[in-house]
Amino acid sequence: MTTSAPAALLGEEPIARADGLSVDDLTVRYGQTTAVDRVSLDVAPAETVAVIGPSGCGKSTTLRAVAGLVGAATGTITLTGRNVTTSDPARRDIGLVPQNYAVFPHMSVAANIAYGLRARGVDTTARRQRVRDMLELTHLSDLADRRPDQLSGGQRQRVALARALAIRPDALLLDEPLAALDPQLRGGLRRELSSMLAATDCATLIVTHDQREALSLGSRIALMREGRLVQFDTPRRLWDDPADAFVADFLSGAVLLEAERDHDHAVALDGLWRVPVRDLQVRPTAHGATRLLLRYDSLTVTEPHDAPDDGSALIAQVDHTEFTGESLHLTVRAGDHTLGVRVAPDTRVGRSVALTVAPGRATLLLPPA
Amino acid sequence: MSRLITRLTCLFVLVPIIATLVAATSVDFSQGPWGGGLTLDWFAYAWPPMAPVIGRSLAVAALVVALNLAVGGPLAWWVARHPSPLTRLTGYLVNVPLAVPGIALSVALVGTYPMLRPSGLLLVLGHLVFTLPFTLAALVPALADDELRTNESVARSLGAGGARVLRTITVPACLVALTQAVTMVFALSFGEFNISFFINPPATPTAPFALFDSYSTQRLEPASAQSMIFIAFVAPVLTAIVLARRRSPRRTP
Repeated sequence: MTTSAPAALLGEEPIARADGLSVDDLTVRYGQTTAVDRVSLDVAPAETVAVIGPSGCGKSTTLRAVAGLVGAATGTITLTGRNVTTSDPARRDIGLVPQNYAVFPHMSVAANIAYGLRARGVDTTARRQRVRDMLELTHLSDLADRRPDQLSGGQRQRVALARALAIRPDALLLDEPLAALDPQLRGGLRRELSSMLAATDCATLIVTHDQREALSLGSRIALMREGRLVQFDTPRRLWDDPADAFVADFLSGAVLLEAERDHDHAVALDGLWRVPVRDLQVRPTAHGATRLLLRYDSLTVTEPHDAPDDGSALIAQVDHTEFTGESLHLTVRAGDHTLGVRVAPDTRVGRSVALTVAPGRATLLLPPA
Repeated sequence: MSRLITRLTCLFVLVPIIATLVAATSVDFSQGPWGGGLTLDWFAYAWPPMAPVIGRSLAVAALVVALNLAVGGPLAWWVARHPSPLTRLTGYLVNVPLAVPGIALSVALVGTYPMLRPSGLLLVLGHLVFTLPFTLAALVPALADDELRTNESVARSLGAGGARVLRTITVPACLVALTQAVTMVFALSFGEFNISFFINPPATPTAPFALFDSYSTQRLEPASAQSMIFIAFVAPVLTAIVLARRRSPRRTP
């Protein structure tokens, strides 16, 4: 696991962790398979942390372990100072919103919201008042008597959220909250969800595989791969200073190359590419090594015979071209290196290309001297 | 086309019932339908000996349904929620009685548990063994449903204990499957002949055995009247159970 520099070092306000959710060294196994491997993260009250990663990375298992639906092999889960690692799910005070929302199909909207309150023995007056408050918060007052099969996907999501918040949980867990919705609706509902979460004071953990969702909803992001936590930091720092090439590629489709500083040049790909430092943004990195960060707008493509011969252009063979709308994805080969790069969608590409860095568009990440 | 097939199927089932009703209300069916005139006398003649038999069969069927829910419910839960070679083997073993002829099953049961025969307990257990596969076939897929399991997880996270989750989430979600199991088990037990014939003491016959006896030894008219009495008892019970499942619970906050 790679962690970032302490927040205080980066000039950010440290966040108190005493009352929120804390996961320390969590390992979850299914038989011989380790689904989650020594993961540690924390969520402060009123904070939203997004756990992101590709399918099978262990993010949903982490969430289920926090909810108490799968057991932890090792590690501890602490909620508002209580060690809940082995507690029954019913005693954790956690609101869970699963991917399919799990709105109870045989109950009305209001009865769904009241379910946890009934289970906890809240008296009728208080229960009805709390249900009214939750209906209002989630803009469902007019739909209180509707059955779930009469609701849209977005409305069902709000029912599940209202039901989870009704019990005043210490932590709120959302598993892929927007994945079941039409892509056209997600933008608006993401903003709606964000404003509803802002109105709560519980620690919120969101699991998603959608980078945009994680970046916009999470005040911090925990990026996982193969059961392990790769990087846990603010969206800005993950974007600007990815821990490794996987983080850069997964979060933004960027390319992160190992590099060396050689006077006025950044040298990458075993010396095949010498990029003048004057053409690069230079930023400090908290991850040790010097690296070159290339985004889809970092490179310009020219014909090899038009390229300068001072090493600042990378001459490469084009193995594959893919048009993705907002960019052109090239798989190129230079020497023994194969890399995927994104360039402007209107770029003309031949069998071989010369890649040069557009001035000011690529970043050289340098460790502190 | 499908409507035609449905109507033909209904006709195929209804015609024998109507024919039985015609025979039961004919003074002398040997002269043809309603030969000698229309009468209800055969019902009056058939009812007194049939009443205790029907009562006995209803009691056995109710007991078999209750035992199916008590034994088959937890067994279906175990098979659905803990997939393993052992649960798969259990699933196969439970189905074995379906492939064994009734006489072989009956002889095996009577030979192994003769002490249970006089009380009628062996008959109930025989019906249980015969009907359990149908309970499992209905309940296992319903209990294994991913959506139900997610709903249960959410209910637990909201603070509901195991009993509340079972009562408020699991049972309502499995209501259709439960109704299927109950109706199927009731109908199978109430109308079961093979096991009843071999296991049950002749002095206390069940309804199918009594019908067999009537058709073997009496005129067609009173035997048909007994058949109609049999149908009159089983049809409303099955209809009531099917209607019951339409009453899904509605809750208020």
